Amino acid sequence: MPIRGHWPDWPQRWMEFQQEVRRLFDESLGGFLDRRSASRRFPPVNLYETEGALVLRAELPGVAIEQLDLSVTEDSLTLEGERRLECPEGATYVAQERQHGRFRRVVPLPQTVDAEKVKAEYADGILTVTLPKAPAAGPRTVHVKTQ
Amino acid sequence: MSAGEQSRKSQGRSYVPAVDIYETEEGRVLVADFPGVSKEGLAVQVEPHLLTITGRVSVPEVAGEEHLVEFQPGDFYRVFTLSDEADLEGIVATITAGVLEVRVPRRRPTQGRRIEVKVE
Repeated sequence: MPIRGHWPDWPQRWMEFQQEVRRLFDESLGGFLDRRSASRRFPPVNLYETEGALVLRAELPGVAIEQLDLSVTEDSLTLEGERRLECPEGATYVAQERQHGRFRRVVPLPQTVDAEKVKAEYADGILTVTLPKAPAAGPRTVHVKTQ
Repeated sequence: MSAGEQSRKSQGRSYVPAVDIYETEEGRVLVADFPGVSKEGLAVQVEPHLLTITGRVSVPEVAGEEHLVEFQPGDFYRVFTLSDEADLEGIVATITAGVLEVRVPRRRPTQGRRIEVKVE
């Protein structure tokens, strides 16, 4: 016996479900699982302080390191360079998410560093810059002259 | 192959790497940022219609006070769907300076074969 009644509008329901799932993925990708900070500066940088040095790490995958400009002053470090996308001629992009182009970041340093002793290493796309702290002037002994 | 639609958490913290996909005559090329991942830390798994990439970061953490933290340590994970055209056997993955490149060639259409009819 055929059942009469009000059937839900399945095609509409299915479309709404798809949109909901898509929105859910978009939100989760943009929210919890996205590792970039809100400002999305390139490159993302971490700055640590150990007992003897400041250590800066920057994510710079696929950057021509020889062309990277790294300069240090008393109170800041500047990273300047370019990340080019290598796309062969005639190819067309289907998706393009990676940040690219020229970049320049100035990172203020919380401690005075010895610019002469700065070391930088690049491995697997991560740049590590070690900046030894400038030696603090120790207490000086003052001799009192007596006549 | 379409751009990554989903990302599930594996054990520990996982991040979604940024990806560029471009199309050439040979097929598609996927370029992804996997900073801190070397060849040893990379796992690429191919199944019909599914390409799974996992990258383990092998950079030791710095023991010190944090002044600025814009990226957290963690592994990378992303899944892609592959179309019927993808030649699964021909997929090649390489990683250099934290950039992963996966080439997915297009399957050549099977040529028609002429069948000779033998007359008994």
